[in-house]
Amino acid sequence: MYKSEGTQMTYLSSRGFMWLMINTLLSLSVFLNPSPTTAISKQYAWISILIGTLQAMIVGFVVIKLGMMYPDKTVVEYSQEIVGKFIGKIVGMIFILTYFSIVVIVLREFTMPFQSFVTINIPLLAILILTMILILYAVLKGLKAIGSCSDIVMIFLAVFILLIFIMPIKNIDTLNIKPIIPHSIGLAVKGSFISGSFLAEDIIALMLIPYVNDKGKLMKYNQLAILITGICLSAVVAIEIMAMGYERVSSTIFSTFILLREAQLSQSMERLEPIAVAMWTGLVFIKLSIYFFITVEGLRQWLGLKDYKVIAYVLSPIVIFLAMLPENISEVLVFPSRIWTPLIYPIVLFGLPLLLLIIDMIRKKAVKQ
Amino acid sequence: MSFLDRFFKNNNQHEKPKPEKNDNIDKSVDNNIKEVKKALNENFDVITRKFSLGGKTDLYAAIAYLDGMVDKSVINLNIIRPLMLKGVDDEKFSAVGACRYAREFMITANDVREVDNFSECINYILNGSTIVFIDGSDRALMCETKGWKERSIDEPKNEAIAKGPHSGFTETMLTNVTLIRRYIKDPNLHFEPLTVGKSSRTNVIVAFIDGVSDNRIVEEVKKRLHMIDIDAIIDSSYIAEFISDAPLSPFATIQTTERPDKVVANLLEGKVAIIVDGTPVVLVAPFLFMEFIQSPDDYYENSVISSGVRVLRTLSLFIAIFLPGFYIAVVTFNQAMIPTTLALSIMSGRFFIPFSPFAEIILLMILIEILREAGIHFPGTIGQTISIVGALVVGQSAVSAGLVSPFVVIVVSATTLASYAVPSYTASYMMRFLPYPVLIISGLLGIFGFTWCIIALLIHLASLQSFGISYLTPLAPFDVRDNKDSIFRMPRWMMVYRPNYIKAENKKRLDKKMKGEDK
Amino acid sequence: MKRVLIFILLILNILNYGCSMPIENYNMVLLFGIDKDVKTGGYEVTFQLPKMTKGGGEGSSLSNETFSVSGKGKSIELAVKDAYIKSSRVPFLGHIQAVLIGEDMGRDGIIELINLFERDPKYTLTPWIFTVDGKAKDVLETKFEYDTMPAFVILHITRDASRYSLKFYAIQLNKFIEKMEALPHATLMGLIKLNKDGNKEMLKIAGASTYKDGKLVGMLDEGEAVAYNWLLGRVKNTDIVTKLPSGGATVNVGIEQARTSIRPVVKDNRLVYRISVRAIGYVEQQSTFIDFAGNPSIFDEINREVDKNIETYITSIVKKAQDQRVDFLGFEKVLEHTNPTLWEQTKENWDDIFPNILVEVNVDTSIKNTGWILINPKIY
Repeated sequence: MYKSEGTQMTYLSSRGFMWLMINTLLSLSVFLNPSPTTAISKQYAWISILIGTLQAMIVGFVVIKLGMMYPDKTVVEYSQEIVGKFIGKIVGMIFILTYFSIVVIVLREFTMPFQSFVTINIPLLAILILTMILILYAVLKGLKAIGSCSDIVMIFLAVFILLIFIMPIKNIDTLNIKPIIPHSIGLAVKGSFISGSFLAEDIIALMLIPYVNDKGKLMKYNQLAILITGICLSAVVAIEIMAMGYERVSSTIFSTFILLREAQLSQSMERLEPIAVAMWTGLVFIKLSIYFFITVEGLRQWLGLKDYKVIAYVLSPIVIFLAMLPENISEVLVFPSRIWTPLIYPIVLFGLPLLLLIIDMIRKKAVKQ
Repeated sequence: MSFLDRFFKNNNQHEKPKPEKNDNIDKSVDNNIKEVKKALNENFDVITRKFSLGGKTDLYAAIAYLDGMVDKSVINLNIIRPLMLKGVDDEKFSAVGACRYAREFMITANDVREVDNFSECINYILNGSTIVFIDGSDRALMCETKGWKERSIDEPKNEAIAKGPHSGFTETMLTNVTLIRRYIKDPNLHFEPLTVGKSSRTNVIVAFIDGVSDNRIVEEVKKRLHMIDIDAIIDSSYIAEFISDAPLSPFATIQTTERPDKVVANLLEGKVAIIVDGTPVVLVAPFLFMEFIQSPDDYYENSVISSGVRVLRTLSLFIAIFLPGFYIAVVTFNQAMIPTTLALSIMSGRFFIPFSPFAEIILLMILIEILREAGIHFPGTIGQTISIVGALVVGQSAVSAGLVSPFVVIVVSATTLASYAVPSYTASYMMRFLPYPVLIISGLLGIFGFTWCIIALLIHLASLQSFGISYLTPLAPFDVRDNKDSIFRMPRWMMVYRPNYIKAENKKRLDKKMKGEDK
Repeated sequence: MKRVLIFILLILNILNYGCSMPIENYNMVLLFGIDKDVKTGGYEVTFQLPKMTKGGGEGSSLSNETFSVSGKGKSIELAVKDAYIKSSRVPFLGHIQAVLIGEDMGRDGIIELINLFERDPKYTLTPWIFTVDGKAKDVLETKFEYDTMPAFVILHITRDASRYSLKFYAIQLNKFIEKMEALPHATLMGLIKLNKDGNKEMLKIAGASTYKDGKLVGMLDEGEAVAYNWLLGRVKNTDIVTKLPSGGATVNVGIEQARTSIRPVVKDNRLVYRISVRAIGYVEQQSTFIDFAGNPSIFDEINREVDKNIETYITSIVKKAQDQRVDFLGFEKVLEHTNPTLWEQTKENWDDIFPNILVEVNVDTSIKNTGWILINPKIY
């Protein structure tokens, strides 16, 4: 009723930013990474995820370095300063499209476990619309609400990870993960690009830096977020390999949920995968809403509008429509394996920020001289 | 409703003649008395008395008051008696003037003020003061004679606790202020008076401790109070509805309490209390979500135990809101999730039930609601007995009649019990309302709907603010220091600082960090 | 507001209400049996479901009675659907306690069955899985005189009694799938049969069945099952009975705990598996006068005898596997995970290498305890 200014003026603290990063990074990678990584790296998948984490930390370093050059502006705004108005607009649009593609594809991927084994028979459109309502609600409430949600969702995350670590304890066979030291390091490195590409989704930082209040600690917390996520993911994959064997992990799509589906801690603690999926929904919801927020906010800045709410209203039916497009599950999974890892990861996630950073440094040096 | 309408209308009629009137006090006592009677609509409870001042035949004085609002012995002994019986020293009388003479040399009441404005006189009369008019003076005297039958200070029924102070607020504002003042003998404790309501002219006091409270919140509270435009305030909930951030949300964003110790503890945290005359319910702002599970006795008990109790209350809060929805989602969608033996017995219990699980649970929940509502309105003390007996009888016979299955009875009664385990009375309405939407959506969409509800509630909570403070503080934005007193209550010597979200100068509770008592 | 209402109605429309089904419309399938339908070459599926009886006064109650429903079809799922329309309520497949596979079916291959259970979310992944010596349908249609339903009998024997006996091997579906998909694609499954004890029909869970590439290739008897359990170190609480050479007394040694480690090494250009067992036991019962206190060397003697016993077990089961040329012991997996470089050389022709593997068994038993009696009284 009363629109008070509020005594807490900050949008996000850098620790809140860290939780947000962990949520966005872990939510999808815990679900989509184990199978393809294990298919390539076999029992060394957990090592290859750690290698992927290192890659992602390099990307994170570049991204934050670039963002801190213009701490009060988003990438859509300062790319025009760095490479000129026209190319800058194109660069901005590339980023916005990347964010947008993540919203669409994650929304679709999110429905898969619900459709396939939590509640069979709920129509796809219903799940999409209902989820989109939530996202729209959160986005209209603004970044502060999303940040608060992400702080709470950390509890979900903790429960989710705890379930994964505790539930399958009776199924664990340590022989499955031996040897600890890989006999060919190439095997481990080959698989690392998948998790690297997922963990390097640091580009949300390019849009969020202006909203973080204590920017000094941003680099530390950003790298910490990637590290924590990488270690969690690696531990999850290690548990999966130990409990299921790498052959099964690589053959199932939702290996993390299958792990919980067949875990029996005691007679009454079994088949808890609906709970796990519920917890996981919270994580994905944070990811979706923050990406939708930066898409909409980026588009607002790109178009030079004042209020982003109109864009949010217009964009959400489009998201639903695009998310309906993939016909079957393999078309859904084509995006991460064929487009995200080989194309977007090296070009948009790593190449573009690096290029902008280098150009900016050269330009600033030239100006000084 | 019609009664209230009439009541308000009546008050409005009082008001009409007032503004056009010449606002000066007439020099003639008779005229003044007439004016007073007219202004107060010749009501039967307006008492006026004219008498001679100091036994003189040419000098008259008169008093006017509202019957029932005043302490008559004060009027008799301290106003009429000295005015009538004490001799008048003519020299002094003419030197200082009638009004001042009466105030300084005659009236023995404690709080006497001169008033030069007729409408103010009426105001005072309405508030329970006695006005003395004296012939030949264009000023009147206001004598503080407030006094009416009031309830004694006893324990608030809705917020009873086992340990700690048992006094509760009463309907008299002055008593309430005193109750607070007794705990904090600090000159920085401010009570700022305001008047709200055109005809009720309710006295409202904004209480805060200067330096401990956030000035911006105090200003915000005052601003919002000034913006209220209503004819009458009967209870503080009127004000709460006007000034809270989200009056339509099921979650209260302003605290209501009848416990002085609670208000004092909140004031010491830097919050602002709003005391309204005529009601024992005091408002405290800002109110945050975590306070739903906090109760004053947490602070009077061992911190380890009260931390445990708070965890239990959090659990109860979740059970009270989500258990029916979860049950329906599991029983109609995710039957594989239930342990096999339990699934078999739920299945066998439900086998001959005529209703679907959804209809069954709704039926029973509504029945429980009716019992609960009836229990409140039953006369006297039999209310609780009747509702317990009713619940037992209904539950038992519904099961044996094959109307509902035993599991649903357990689920619904667990939900109801859990909602009583949450100490906040403000929360009880929220917990009665929220299970229904959760139940309906979960019944339609299963676990997905259940999760959907949780997330929707989460966004709603995250977007709420109470006087500029995020509702979920200190959980989100997460603050380690403030979390010493949220789900857990740390020992008192560890809570060195006042809450971080109140931005004030004086932040420390303790001056130095003390170790435990044993050292 | 009107728009919101229309929107909500639209969503309600999209959700066709058929997607939810209350629990009482289902009946829980507790045992799932599958056989080959000999006539048509398809499958025959049998469900065992609990029988609901109207209890006295308060609703209905569960007895120990069960009934079975069977269906036939060209594929397993078709047979399941056929059984659906024959049963009184919809069979619910999320609570299967055990899957019984008929012998014919096993010989024919169970890959399809496993694939169905792995793919379809309506099945559970954690039932115990058994081969039936005979037809699965026969086991499911037999009336037993247990005090609980047969499904729970199987569950209790496999889950709880396995702590006290090594005579059978039981595995859950998910672990079976894991072993099946891992190299060498051969593993063991439980074995169940009907046993007539006088007039009473009993379930007998004993021995094991071996599978290679999803096909039943053989069965192990009780002794071999014990040996296999010793090899894998699945020993929690068991007994070894041995005769002492000195004095000829029979001693029953209870094993409290045993640990097996398998380590493949290359010795003289041959692959050697070093199997070492460490067991800790106590004297459970013995029939003659032995003075444990006065003669501590008696412990060493018992230890040696137990060692020999365990060693015989392990060598016999390895020999059996090598004779059958089926690596159901999982030696290839051990090699893969302990020495991957060596495994890469051998993985092409493992079937030829396996029968020639040497096994070195090294058992170390130590008797820690003699129970509450140190010296037997003189009557022995």
